[in-house]
Amino acid sequence: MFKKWMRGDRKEEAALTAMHEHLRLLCSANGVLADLIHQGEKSRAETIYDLEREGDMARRHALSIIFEGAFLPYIRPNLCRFVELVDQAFDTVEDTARYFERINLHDSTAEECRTITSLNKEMCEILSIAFQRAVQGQDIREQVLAIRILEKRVDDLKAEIYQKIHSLPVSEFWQGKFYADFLESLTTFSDLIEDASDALYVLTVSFR
Amino acid sequence: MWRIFGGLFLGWSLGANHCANIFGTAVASGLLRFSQALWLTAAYVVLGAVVEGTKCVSTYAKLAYVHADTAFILTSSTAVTMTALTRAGVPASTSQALVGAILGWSLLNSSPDFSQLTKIVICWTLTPLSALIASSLLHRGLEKLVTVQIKSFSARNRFYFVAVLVTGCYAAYSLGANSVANVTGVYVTSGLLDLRLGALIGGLSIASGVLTYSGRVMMTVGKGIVPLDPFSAMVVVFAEAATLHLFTQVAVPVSSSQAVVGAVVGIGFVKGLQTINKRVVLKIGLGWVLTPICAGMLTLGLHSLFLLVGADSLQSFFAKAFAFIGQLNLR
Repeated sequence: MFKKWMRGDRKEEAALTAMHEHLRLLCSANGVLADLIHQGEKSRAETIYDLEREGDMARRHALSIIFEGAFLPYIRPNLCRFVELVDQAFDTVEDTARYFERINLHDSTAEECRTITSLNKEMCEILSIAFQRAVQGQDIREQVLAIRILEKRVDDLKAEIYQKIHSLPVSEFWQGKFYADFLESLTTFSDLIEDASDALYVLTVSFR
Repeated sequence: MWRIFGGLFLGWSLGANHCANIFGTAVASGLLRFSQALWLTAAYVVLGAVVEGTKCVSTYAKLAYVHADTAFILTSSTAVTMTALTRAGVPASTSQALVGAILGWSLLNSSPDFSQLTKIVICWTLTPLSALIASSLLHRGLEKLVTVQIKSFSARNRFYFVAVLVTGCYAAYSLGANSVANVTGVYVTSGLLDLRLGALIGGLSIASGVLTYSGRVMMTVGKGIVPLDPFSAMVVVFAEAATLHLFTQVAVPVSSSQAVVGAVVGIGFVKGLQTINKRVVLKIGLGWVLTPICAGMLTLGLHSLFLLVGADSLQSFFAKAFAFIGQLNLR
């Protein structure tokens, strides 16, 4: 116990730094994904896979510090839930890139997909800002609200896309499957970011 | 001297039952490990008993005169009652049980000092009320202070850890100071123990109960009534400690269980009445009513048995009991 007194906040700071690094890597991967989809440079997918691996390391580091005893046990489950949600979002970015490598964006849905990518990127950056504000004890209601609004726009675009692809011909089973999976992972990302922002908000409220 | 085993048994059951009131909320809300809570409580209970434990002893002396043999029976009956309630997971009051036992014993051959009894009963009523008011006010006042002054995650984390630790130690100190009279007070008034020695032995026996048998009630108090966050846990413990310390200064042993339950309900009032588990509160309230009645009935029964066999001391009672058993043809 005296060790804990002497050690001070170092563990907590290290855990927060690792969590922030995890988020930063997610934002970078999202930026690369946006370039990938906007410019169609499929060679950039490798960068996303590398960033995902780095993200996994950051997640493992953050979780190991938390389980070593950083923060009161009372808030550890909420912290871990946030980290896990960010990681799931990271996985969907990787999946989106993988599927994008195997498909050709159809002209009728390309614009919506690019807009969703931009919205995803924006949501990720807002989540990163919300995290920084939360750990400093500032209010994050505005950021959470902004993420919700953007998520609603992604949902609307998703509905539009599904309306359009209904009438598109499918030449081959796997092409259709990969296209459907691509759209699914592209639109799931916003849900996960919204869940992560909610978890962050719960975290700030529970720690008051 | 063997008669003090009744008091040691009572101290043990008191420690087992009341440890929950010190760090129960902190352990349940995850601020402290169970083992840390036990050792801290034990150490500060002994300190409180030795430093301020002598203040409440005189109150029992004024309530009724007790002989050393009677002291053994009173403490044993109280301990049996407390252990039964601990087994049932009900946070019960040792002072209520002991006063119930003293009254039960006094009914047959002497009358207790009812002026002292009135003072004690008034304090019992005021204990949960004081804790309730204290926790509500502290929660409202400190919440703003903490959220405004301490902002960052890591700073607040550290604050909660230190605050709960300090208030818990204070609560353990107050428990030792207030409750040790329950354990060895009747032995001091009967002349079997010196005041200081009584306080030390009482404190050590409470600590033994804390260390060996306190998990069950801890979870009832910590999780059963209102789910507590670290801040509320800290406020509950501080309100309880301040209440106990206050009543120690007016020399009345009161119930730390009642204080902690009152404080937890006070938090429930602040957070909204729907957060209070009324069934658990009723169960605890029933325990408060049953505690003095059970202990009183038990000692009344024992005293009746004493009078029935015509015993004038514990030795003669045991001699007659063994002689009676010897006469039985058990084959």
